Amino acid sequence: MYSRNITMNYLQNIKHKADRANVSRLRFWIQLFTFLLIVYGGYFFIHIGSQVPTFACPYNQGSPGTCYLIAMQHGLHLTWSELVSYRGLAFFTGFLTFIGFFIVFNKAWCGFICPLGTLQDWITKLRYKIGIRFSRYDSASFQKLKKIKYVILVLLIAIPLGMSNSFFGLAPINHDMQSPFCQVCPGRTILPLASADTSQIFIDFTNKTTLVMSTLGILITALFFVGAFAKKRFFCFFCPMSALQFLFSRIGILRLTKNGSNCTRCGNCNRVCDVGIIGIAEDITSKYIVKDDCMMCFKCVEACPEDNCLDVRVFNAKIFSSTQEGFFKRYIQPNELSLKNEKNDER
Amino acid sequence: MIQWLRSGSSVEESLFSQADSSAVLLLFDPQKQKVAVETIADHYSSAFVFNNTDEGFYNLFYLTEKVHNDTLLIACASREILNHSCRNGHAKELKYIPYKTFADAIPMQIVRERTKADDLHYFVTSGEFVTFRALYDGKPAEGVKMTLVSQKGWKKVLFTDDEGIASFEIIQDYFTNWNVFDVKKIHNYLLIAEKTFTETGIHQQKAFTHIKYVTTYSEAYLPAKTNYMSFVWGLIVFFITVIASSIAVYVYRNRRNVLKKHNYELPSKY
Repeated sequence: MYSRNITMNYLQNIKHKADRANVSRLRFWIQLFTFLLIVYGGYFFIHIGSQVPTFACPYNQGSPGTCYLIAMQHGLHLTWSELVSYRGLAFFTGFLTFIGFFIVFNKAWCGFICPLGTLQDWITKLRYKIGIRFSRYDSASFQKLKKIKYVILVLLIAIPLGMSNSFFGLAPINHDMQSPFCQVCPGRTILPLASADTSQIFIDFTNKTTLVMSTLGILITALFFVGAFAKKRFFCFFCPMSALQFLFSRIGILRLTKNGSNCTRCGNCNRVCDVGIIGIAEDITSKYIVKDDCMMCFKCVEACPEDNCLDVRVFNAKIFSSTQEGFFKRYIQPNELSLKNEKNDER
Repeated sequence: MIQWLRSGSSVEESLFSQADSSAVLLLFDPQKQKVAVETIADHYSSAFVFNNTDEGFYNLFYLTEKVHNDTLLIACASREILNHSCRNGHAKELKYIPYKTFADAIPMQIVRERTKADDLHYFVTSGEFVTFRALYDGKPAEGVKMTLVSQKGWKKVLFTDDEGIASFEIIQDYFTNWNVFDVKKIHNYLLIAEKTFTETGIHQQKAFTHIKYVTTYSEAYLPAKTNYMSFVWGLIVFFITVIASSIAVYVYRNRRNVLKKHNYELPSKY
């Protein structure tokens, strides 16, 4: 009983320190490490498989793995009969591997590991240093635009299936549309650039389909840079990986929960949210607060001044909670990025 | 007599002939194990059908022996047939796949020397130098006449060196009109290796004083990427989009210079 009390006290002390910690600073270093791992890991013979739930782009020579979106598009290039054969089984096992990867970190794959997300965060830091303001969507635009990623996800699934099958008596889709999302994904063009590989910056004049898709790919790459400079995590709002992850985020081991009874609706959580999720401030009834655009960066937990209003949990054990003490330690200090600065920066 | 094995069944691009009834057909799977082949013949053509269950290169050889005048002609058409589908995964994608030799099965063989990039996605493109090695009884054969013939009939003749090697630059001898968007078209080449030895003997009750080996190897190639992928146009589209969208953001922000209020109230302490 005595030793149990000592253990409990020890764990409480660790938890107390964690609640006061600057998670954003820790996140910066984790992002730097994972960026190097995901972009250059392949050069060091690291291999993490073909079902990685983030943009580990195989078009980048140094990638240690393959983004699940490309594996899914390849895997769905099946006829209906193939889908129920061993090929379908291969797709299903690949999907289970993706889920196995995903449930460990849940949507923190976006906030802590995604190299495209990290790049956007670095562009945001550059913009902030230069002193250019950033934009946010208003509530109505937010609700409309957030649906785009689901449309992209549906197309990403339907097009490979449409290449092998006939829908509504129509002819199968042109094979040049294979891996359609990869053809327009900014990860394909940008991540190889990190290894000084410019081979993906091209317009493909093979035929009309490749001409349109490759032009679209370059357009989206350009918009990625301009958008990330004008709005935090601009691309994440349209990312089909984010949509796919959200469908399974409930089974994630890592969880973000909210105790609505402690919420004063101060709006701090929304204000610091890079994606600008309004629901996290407004929703005081849901316990499980991860929204589809959430990337689990936990800035909201850091910025919440109410004790135990927002919690990060592993299963049901709290590992990081919002506390008044932690809030004041993090934000009300000189030389720190204050909420006041965040607010002034916003238009 | 030149024999050419082609995979696929495009009537447009292939000439068909009936298989010689005395010919020997040999097929080896990626593990060099013999595989049964079914021959389907009609009045015009012969097709060889087999199950390709293993991933990797299957080696197909079509052997005929005939005495013509005083020469025994041993002709061998060979083909490497790749069995790979991205849909089955990429466990072997980055694995270097060396060529295989079959000295026990065929007397003279042509092999393509592999490069480091030679994985299951590798494809020869025009402009590349491709090195072939002629093997006789599994050993490098010197002085073998190697003739590379492109699909349109362009020819280049070389003789192998003491290591049995001859290198050819694969040329693109077909071009589409500038306004036709179908440039990434697969074409074929045929490599013919010929070597004659002085040797006497009797084959099928016919005497011969020479033996001539004629081995063919056929493979496909793509046009070089530079022919249909433009880096310059990629950059032009990129910079135009960056400039246009930056101006659009600037103008939009200046016109809509209003800070929208959030619909929740801030406590006084903030």
